[in-house]
Amino acid sequence: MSESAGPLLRKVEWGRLQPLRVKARTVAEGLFAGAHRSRRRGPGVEFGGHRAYVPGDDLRWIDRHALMRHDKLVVREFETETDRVVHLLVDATASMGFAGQGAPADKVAYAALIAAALARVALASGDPVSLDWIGGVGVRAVPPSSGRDAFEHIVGALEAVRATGDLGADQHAFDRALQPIARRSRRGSVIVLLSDLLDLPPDAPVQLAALGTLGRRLAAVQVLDREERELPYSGSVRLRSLEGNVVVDTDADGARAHYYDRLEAHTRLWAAPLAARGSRLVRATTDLDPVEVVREILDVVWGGGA
Amino acid sequence: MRFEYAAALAAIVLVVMPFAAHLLRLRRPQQRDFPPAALVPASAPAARSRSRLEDRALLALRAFAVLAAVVLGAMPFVRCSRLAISRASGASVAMIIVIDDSSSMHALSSSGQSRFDVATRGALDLIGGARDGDVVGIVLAGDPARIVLVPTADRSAAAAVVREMRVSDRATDLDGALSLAQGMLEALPQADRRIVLLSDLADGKPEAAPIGSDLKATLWAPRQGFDDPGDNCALLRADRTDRRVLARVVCTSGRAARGRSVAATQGGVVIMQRPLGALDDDRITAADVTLELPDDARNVEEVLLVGGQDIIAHDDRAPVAPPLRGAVIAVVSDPSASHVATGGPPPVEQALAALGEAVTVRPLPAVPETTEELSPLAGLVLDDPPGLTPEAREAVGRWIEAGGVALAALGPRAASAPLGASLAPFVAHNIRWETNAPAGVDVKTAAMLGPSASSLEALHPSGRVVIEGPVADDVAAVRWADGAPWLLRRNVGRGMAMTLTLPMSLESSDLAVRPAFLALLLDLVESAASKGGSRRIDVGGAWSFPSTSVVEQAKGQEALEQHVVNDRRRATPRLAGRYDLRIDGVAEARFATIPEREIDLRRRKLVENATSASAGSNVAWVDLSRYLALVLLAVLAGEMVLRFLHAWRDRPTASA
Repeated sequence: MSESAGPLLRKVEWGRLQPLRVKARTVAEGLFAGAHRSRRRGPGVEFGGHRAYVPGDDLRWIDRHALMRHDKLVVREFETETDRVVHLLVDATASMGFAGQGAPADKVAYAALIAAALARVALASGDPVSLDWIGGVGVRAVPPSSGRDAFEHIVGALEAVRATGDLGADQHAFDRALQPIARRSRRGSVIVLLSDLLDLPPDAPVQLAALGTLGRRLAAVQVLDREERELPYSGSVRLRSLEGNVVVDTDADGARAHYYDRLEAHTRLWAAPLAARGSRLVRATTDLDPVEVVREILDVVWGGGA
Repeated sequence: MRFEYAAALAAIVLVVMPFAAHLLRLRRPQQRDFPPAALVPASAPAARSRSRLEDRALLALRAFAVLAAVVLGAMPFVRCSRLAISRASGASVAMIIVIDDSSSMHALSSSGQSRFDVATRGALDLIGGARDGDVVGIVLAGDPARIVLVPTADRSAAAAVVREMRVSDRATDLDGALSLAQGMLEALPQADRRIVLLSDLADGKPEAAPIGSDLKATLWAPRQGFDDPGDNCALLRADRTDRRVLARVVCTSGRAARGRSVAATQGGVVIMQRPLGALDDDRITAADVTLELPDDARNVEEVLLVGGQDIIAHDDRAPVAPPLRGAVIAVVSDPSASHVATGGPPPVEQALAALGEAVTVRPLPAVPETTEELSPLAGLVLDDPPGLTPEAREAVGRWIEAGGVALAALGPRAASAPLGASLAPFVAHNIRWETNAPAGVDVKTAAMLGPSASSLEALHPSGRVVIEGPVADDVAAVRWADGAPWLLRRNVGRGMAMTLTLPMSLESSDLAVRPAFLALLLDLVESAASKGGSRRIDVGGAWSFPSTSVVEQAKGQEALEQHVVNDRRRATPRLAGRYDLRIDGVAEARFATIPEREIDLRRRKLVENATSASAGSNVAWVDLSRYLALVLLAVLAGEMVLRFLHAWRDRPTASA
């Protein structure tokens, strides 16, 4: 994890999202926060259906009857009840410190709110929660923990963050962030990435999707500012990225359509691997209601049943 | 306008460069943080908008500054009307400017300026056109000529001197001024030596040799502004007797006198007026006009020339001098040599006493040897003095120069003066007494004595004094029958010395009992009264007092210049008029008069080449570079001010 502060160091603009602790509880209370049916598909005693085989699946669960009948590789899934660890991976690189004009807060603050709400929901269900970071300064990783104090630890770590770091200059930062999760996560655990997905290494989608094997559930939440989504500028503008030292002189009006296309294509680079793992990309902008965003995440990772 | 470096003007296209550069400048895009900037396609620079034309005032100033710099580099000259000496070579010039400050320079030129103003403006032009290395000196040509600025390279000091100059009522002394200028130039190292004469050339000597004929330096006398013709009448003086005012008027021609009258005023009101009369059209003419005053005339202050118009209004009025009551005539006569058989004082004293209350006779035992003794006197009569001692000669000479009138009747005692004694300032040559004298004078030469002159036809002289030397015709007023001088009248300074070649004793001749003797003494008294002793002087002269005297002047009058020279306090008037003084506590009115010869406005000739264009011209090319440099500085200062104002306007303001 990069500790480089440098010129990209940004103080988190919590804006209307503070205080985080209260806001997170409010968001969580808007959801079903009771005991849930801990469901996972994979080895178990109760058949849960078929799905297409993907490399890495345990060969023991290939349904040979279906292979012979349909000439396709499918695996059998089973349902079981268990406690599932929720691994939260929050991007705190410099780009997450961006807040457009009129935004309620910058992106890292919004991501922190989502993460805290997820933690609240998970902890209320008895699931342990861990917290890891990509970039940032002052960040503090929280190992999987549950119980009464876990939420406070999670929120305390989230509040201490300051967005900084340039992943363009540190291509292995993403690997280092994923490694502890890969080591700790077991079958049935949930991994949630909260990031703008903008300056991550090119193979980051594949690396993240690779964690979606062995019964682990994945969710990637793309947090963008409304300005990033819409490029609302007009006329000649000089745009400077917060990571990678990219400076672009452009006519905003003329470049808007191309930008939308590129942004969509970039998003698809993340959505496709996730879809292959039975997951999907959640798109959020900082001006959206965080309750709806959290609800969508829960729907992705827990199949809509919170 | 012309330019020294016309090629530099090619750079004038640079004037549009600030605008072009500004217009060609691409407007700086607005910079924003935008994390997904890498996803935004860049636009080609040509697609960016041009910068708008901002700060028009600043751009205009820059364009003007470039224009000024270009023109400055081209060294522009403008042609303007101002005096400038010609420079055949690049050598520095020593220039003496002779400025005529005489009374005739009051005359107005066609431009409406006085000739003196034209002269001073020309002098300032010349000083302004002087270059580094040039030296400038200034001489004033009012009589007496004087140096007011020794040659100096300090042009600002020279200009300041010129600006302080004022015209006077002096006569003109061009020869003296040019001589001074020549002397100043001789001591200077510059090879190119010039004398610039700024004068109307009317010095009262139109027939004299051309001006500058004996000068070594190059003389240039610009004429523009000085040659405007015109006629003038001047009222020189006015003297009051009991019931009359005698005014002396001098006109340049009869045309100037037409329609003009002489008027006496009392309390600002004309109480008597008399036409000037017809004067000769072709020559300068003087006229004495007598105004008979009404009985109630008390304090007649001024006499004016009214009606008509001339080119000098300044000299159309004169203060009236009050009558010289009790003019003191001192008589030095030896009673043993000159007496009357019936007793009483010498015949000359009795004759003077017979002239009435206008004369106070003061017998003196000897010729006074100090000016203090002579200063109260208006006239002095010496009857056969045995010569004058050096002290007496000095005192009498100075007294006459100051306005005294003296009559010396020479006889056998004067002819046998002891060694060391002389008869100056009456006679410069030796004299001798001869007993072989004609019977009387040539009556035709004695017209000045009026009808009584015929009484001198038979004087029965026992002898006469013969002057052993030539006597000028204009000095010999009356002659013996054989042509020898009988009476000499010679102006000395402001006074007059009269010499009679016959003593006044009855033993020597019958002169003392002839009516013409009274006429002669009356002429003496009137001359003394008219000259007022030292009361009345010509402007240019000075009243002289002991250095210990305190001379105060009434307020509101033209201030006298006072200097102490050789233990004498000299008070010099600049203008004609009345000066009310308090001398050691005693109030006294004194009068200064315009010299009569100054009224002659006829120009004296100049040497050839003195007006040629090779010496100088009235049109000069003036280098505008220094003025453009100042403009350029002002423009740059203006740009700095504008920048400051913009910075002040655009300064960051503290947010709430």
